[in-house]
Amino acid sequence: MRKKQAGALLLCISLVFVGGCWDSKELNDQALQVGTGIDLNEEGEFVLSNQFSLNSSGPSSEGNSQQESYTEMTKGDNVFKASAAMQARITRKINRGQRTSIAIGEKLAREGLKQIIDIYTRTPEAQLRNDLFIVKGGFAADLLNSSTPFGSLSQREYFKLHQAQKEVADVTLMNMLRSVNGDSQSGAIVPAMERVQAPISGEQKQKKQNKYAYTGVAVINNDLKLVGFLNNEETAKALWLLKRPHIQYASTYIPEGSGLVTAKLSSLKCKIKAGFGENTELHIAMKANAELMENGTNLDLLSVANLKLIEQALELHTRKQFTELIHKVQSEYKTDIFNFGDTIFRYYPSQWRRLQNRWESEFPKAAVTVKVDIKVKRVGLTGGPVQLKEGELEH
Amino acid sequence: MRFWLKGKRLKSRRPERYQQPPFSHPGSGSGLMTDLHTNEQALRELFTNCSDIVYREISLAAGHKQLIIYMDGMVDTNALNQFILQPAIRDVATDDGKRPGQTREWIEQQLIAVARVNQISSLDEAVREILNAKAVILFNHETVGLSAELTDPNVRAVEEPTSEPVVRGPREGFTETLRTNTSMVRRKLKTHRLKLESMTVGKVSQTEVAIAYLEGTAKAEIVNEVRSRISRIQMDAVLESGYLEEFIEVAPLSPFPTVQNTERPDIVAANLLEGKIAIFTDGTPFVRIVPFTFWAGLQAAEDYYNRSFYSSAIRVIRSVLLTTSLFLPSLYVAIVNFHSMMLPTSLVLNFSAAQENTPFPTVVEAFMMELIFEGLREAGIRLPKQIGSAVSIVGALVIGQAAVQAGIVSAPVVIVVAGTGIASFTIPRYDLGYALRLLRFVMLILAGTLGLYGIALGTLTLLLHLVSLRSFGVPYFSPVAPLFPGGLNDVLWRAPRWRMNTLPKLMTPGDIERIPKGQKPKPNR
Repeated sequence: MRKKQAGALLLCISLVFVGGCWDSKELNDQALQVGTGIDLNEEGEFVLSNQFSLNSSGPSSEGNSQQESYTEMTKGDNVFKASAAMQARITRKINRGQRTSIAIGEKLAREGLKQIIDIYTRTPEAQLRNDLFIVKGGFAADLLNSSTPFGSLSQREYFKLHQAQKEVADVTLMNMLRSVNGDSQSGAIVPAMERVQAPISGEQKQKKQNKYAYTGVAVINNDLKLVGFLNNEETAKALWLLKRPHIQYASTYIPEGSGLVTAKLSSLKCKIKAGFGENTELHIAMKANAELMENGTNLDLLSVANLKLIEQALELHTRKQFTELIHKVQSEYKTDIFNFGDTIFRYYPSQWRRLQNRWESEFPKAAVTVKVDIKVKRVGLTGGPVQLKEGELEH
Repeated sequence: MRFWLKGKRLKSRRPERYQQPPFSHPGSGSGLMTDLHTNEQALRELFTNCSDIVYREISLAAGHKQLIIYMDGMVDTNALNQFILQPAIRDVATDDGKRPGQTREWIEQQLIAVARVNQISSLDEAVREILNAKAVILFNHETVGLSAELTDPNVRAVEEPTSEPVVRGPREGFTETLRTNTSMVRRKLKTHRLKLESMTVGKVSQTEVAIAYLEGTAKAEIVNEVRSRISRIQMDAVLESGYLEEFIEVAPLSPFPTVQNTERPDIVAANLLEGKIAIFTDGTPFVRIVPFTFWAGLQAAEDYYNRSFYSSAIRVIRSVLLTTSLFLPSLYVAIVNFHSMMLPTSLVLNFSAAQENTPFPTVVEAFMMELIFEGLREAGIRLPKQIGSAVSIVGALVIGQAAVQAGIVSAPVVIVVAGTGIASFTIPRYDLGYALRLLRFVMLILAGTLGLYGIALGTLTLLLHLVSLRSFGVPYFSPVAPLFPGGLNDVLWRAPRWRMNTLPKLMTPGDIERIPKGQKPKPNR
């Protein structure tokens, strides 16, 4: 009996060696994909671009050599065909495990992401935690082909840029699908990258400069189509409404002091109340503490009256920004990217049930009022700007 | 509590206890003759070609004679001359011929100035006493002889134990002499409750084995079991306590040791105090301690001499390193070969760059390097000390640097193997280290074939084995599984002494208070 058991065990163990069906893959038989981008070309075919890391031959004893990379492009009727063509062109097995983000060209995004999203959720190799970003006014392939001063693994560097802009690092494939798929029929915002225009001398010539920069977010509607972009300032305001962590600045011109005042806002609060008349009414109350960062006026900030003035100006300005942003989203994009539907669902579930199915058409009609309450808590080390003489200050 | 003594295992064993066979040789079994020459003849016949046996005949008063037989080199000749020969010769010289012939009793009381004297009445006993380094004295008019203990104290001095060095703590280690060893423990535990039961094992070697325990603290069932297991042993010779261990251990086919060994009297004393049982063997400085649990393998002697804060911190590090020494190479192989997506990108890129030109699969590389490392370690032990440094040079330069530069192995594998080596050196019990060294290779094969899944399977099997293992009735993983919350004070951390109030439950009969509560120092303010 014992012998039989031992024999059976031996047979089972030998299967492992004889079968040879191991998943084991050596690192030097694999091509490590560090970035991927998808575009749509003129003929309506998908263009897949993959960035692979290249190993310097031989062990590097210095260890300071920059990682090399190269980008390969293939096309196909769908993403899978393109990626099969990609494998045919790469000498090694493609390892997609290290991919951190997916870049999408604007043209494809305008056509809609529905056609490509499936493969990224179906195959086990895909990671739902991959970041998404959209290349505004360009192709993902160009972004992958460009190099950055920190190395040629451009997509990896741009992923780090997202992490530095902490407000958008969170937009993963999963988060986007979640916000679009919910019952709230809301849209999603996805970070956008744009080719840099030099601020002074037109086209930039220096080689060691970032070719792309973060320029706010792209607005994706419930149908997963790109409908437009928000710039950095609008993005910050949208994130305040979405109650996501971010850094908020407010900057306004003060006619009494004839200059700009900039403040960093913190302790951001946002309360939304809804009323249900003919159209949905949304009353938004925002609250923040301000810390003055730059004072371009001649106001002495040690005087309470001046602070009141600045507070009022900041409130007025922020309120205007909000109203404009909401109006723009309502009228141009017609997509609830602020998750208002979700808020109504949470706080007014019975009303939401009636609204739910027609929220997409209700949202643009909703009457939104915004109230902003800003309190200046800190003014910094000096009262008035120190370069001004006593007589020039306004008390 | 379910105690394994009640189990069916014992019943299936041979019912009758095995008795030591009587000492047998030609002409044995006979008592001593009154004729001294017959006795001498019989002994000379037994010890034919034994040049180290010395026979010395002395005439006593009234025509009596005595024959002294001893083994040269084992008996202290100076003492023999001074305390047996001199009194006898002087007695003859002062003999006035009027005294009656001295009886054995008289000689024993008046002439032999030796503390330990036994009577012997048969040839058998005479032979055994001679072999046990005693001087045997036979008389021509008596059928009862004497044996005097004059053992040569010429033994190795007490030195610092080499296998278990400490920075802080006693520096004495056991020697090869049983009585020296037991006395070292006696000196630490001055109580009549410390029992030392003596037994003789080995047909040829006639080795003295002593079972030491604290009466009332050690569990009687475990003591009985140890006693019966040792008395069951039939063997020709016991040259080291390891010979005994193989007969008394509970799981002979398990890679894990169920018997602890130590060279340190303080460890033995501490274990006796916890209700464990020590087995001393003559001829070796290594004393075996039972029962042994897994967690005892993480306890170093020094843990108890340092402040509990440091000891606890170090013990945590030690358990992390124990896990490392078992899993690091296999984890590396599994993650790099099967699950590279688990690693940070920069790390994968570095690994991939390092492996770009290596000819072998990662698992083969790791296996090779582990083998070479084990070889180096073995070579370091076997080589004479003078050549020992050559091994480390070869190891560092040839294996480490040159192999990487020649592109035979990748640098990360060398780092992994080196890290594993360092981790495995931190395990305080050498035996447990052996087990983990072996299992590391098993894990490596599993990782190379099945990846993390294989490691999970291996770990599961390992844990199943560990929790089902028992050492003399005490579960190997206790007090963690089964859980005894009180016992956790001395497992992953070491609580301060004033907090260790009770003794381990499984090894002692019931709750014994060890250190009364409320002794936490409270300074007066």
